[in-house]
Amino acid sequence: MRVLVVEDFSPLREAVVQGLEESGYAVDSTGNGEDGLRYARASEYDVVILDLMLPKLDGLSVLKALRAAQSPSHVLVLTARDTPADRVKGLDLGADDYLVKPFEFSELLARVRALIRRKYDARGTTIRVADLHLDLSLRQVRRGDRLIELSAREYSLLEYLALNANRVVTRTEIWQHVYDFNATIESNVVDVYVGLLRKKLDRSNAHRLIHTRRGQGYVLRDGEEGTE
Amino acid sequence: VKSLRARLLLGTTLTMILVLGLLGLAVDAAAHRTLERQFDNTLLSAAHAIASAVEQHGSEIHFEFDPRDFPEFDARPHASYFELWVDGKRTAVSPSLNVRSLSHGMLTIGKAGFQNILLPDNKNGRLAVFPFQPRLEDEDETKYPPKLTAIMVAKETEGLDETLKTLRWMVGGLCAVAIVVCEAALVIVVNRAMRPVNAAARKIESLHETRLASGIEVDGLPQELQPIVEKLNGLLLRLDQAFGRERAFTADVAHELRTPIAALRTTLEVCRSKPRDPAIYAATIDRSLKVIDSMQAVVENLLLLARAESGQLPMTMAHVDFVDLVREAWLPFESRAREKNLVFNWNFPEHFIVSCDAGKIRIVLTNLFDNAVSYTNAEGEIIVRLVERGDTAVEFEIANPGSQITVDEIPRLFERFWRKDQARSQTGLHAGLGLSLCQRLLLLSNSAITAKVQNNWLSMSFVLPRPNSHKT
Repeated sequence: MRVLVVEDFSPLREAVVQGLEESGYAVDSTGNGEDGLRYARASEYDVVILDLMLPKLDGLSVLKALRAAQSPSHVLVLTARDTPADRVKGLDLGADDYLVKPFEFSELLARVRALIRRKYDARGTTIRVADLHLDLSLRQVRRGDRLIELSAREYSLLEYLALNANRVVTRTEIWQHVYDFNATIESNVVDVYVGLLRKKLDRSNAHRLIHTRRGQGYVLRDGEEGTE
Repeated sequence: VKSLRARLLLGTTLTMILVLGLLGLAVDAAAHRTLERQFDNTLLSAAHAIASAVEQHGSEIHFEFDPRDFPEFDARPHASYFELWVDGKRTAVSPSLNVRSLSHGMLTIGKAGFQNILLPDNKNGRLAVFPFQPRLEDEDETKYPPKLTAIMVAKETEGLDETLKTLRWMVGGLCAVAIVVCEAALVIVVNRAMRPVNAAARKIESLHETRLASGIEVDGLPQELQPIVEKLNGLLLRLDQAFGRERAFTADVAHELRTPIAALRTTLEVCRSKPRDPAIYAATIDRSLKVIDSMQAVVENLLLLARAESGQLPMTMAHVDFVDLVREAWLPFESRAREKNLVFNWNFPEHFIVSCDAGKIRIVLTNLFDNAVSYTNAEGEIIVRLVERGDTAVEFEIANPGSQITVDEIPRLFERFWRKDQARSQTGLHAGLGLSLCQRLLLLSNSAITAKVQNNWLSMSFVLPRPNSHKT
């Protein structure tokens, strides 16, 4: 899942970015509102973590512009302002959630996960496709009784496929949601990761879950139709 | 007496007692005079009647007194008395006198007059002396000159005294009743009049500190109280604004510290989330220390500002070389200025001795240099000047472009936590406290900071006094 962090105080921004990256998110970040808006318009972020007091363009203006452009990103406002009036203003302008500084990082992560679930209409914290169980909170994957160890990037890829289960997702979509701006652009990187993921998921299991749709992309579903 | 009500009551009561007392005395005196005059007239008419019975025949005086015509002069209780005097001799007396005589005290027989006396029966009485010319029987007046005759009439005054006493009691009683009634009415009136004062006091008492600005309703208050309440409302408004500023300040402080705390917390939480190399821990500690430095700067500036504002900052004045002070304060900024390729334009002489607290002025200079270096665009110019202002003072001026401050924003420059760009792009370093601190410290140094804006150049200046002995 891809997250944009817009926060002007660099020590905080860097720590949040590191924490999110280590949790498997693809993260881009910037310290001013103008760049924040530019980034958010250029890519479809799942979650935008937005500070309100920003140089060049303040957070509320960024939020307004994003909502005016009907951006599908969910916005988590992160701010030192904690009066109910501030919260109401932020939420009324289209923020999806509000977190007051200082916060526990685990809470920030939980809220990001919740926003992602909301974005993909996943009500519960687990996704089940055939005998595959994905626990979105614990970031655990099981196939039957077997616990599958995945790298952060592999988990992200599987989570994205699972959240879009039964729908074909293109390589570009995968790219956009799983990789940040800093990732080296290699045309087959998505295919390589899908290959790695398949190996781990389908090991000793004849029933394959990730199917390739030639010329379109991939789909996670139960069933043999259209597999390669 | 401190109570307005008591003062009002006491004042009016004393005045009332004085006025009513004087009035009572006047009424008493007037009644006394009138009744006495009436009594005297009765005595005189009795004397007239007796005098009409006196005739002069040649050199003889005939007194034809018939006691039946004058029963009051008979010997009986409460009788009246008279004596007839001719040529200085008592020639006849009333039957009531018998062998006794009337004492006439200070009165002379030849002159008319009245006097209170003790009557022969030891009762209080009043005496009238009535000198007159007896009727002449013969027409030939010249032949026998008229005799010097006088009638003395006396009558007891018991009735008069009784009436006067009653009258005095009546007047006194009426005055006392009037005072009591007025006093009661006064208490009621004063209490009613004080009601708006009490109501205003209750309103003031019920004013909550968070709603000071709403003040007290002036309508319905007595005219005399309105100016006071209006002034009070003005004061309340100023207090409310001051409280508002304090609240905003507290919020600003919290706000200013929340972001670095969040950074510190997130940095440490993320670092602890999994085991890491010692080098990573060291780097995390370094990053955390930097954040702590910036928080410490905010807290120290705040403390300094609070001490300066509450007058708890001792000033140690000394003779200092201003030029040395400026050079010293500049040193820490040299490398930053070099990195930004700033042109630093000095303009001052070798030495300038001023009288100031070097420590405080160093803080001022550090803040001004910091702002100039931070806000001047790369390759910009910073001008620093030290100029003599007459014989008695030296002016320091620093000017730099790039601050984007407008003329309207100049007064706000010195507000705590005010920044041109509201974001904390440099939290801690430029928390918006520097210039308020400069202003305060210069105020304590009996100086003042002045800001000017021209063509995007912001210039800040202040004046320090030269010691009196600088010429020698």
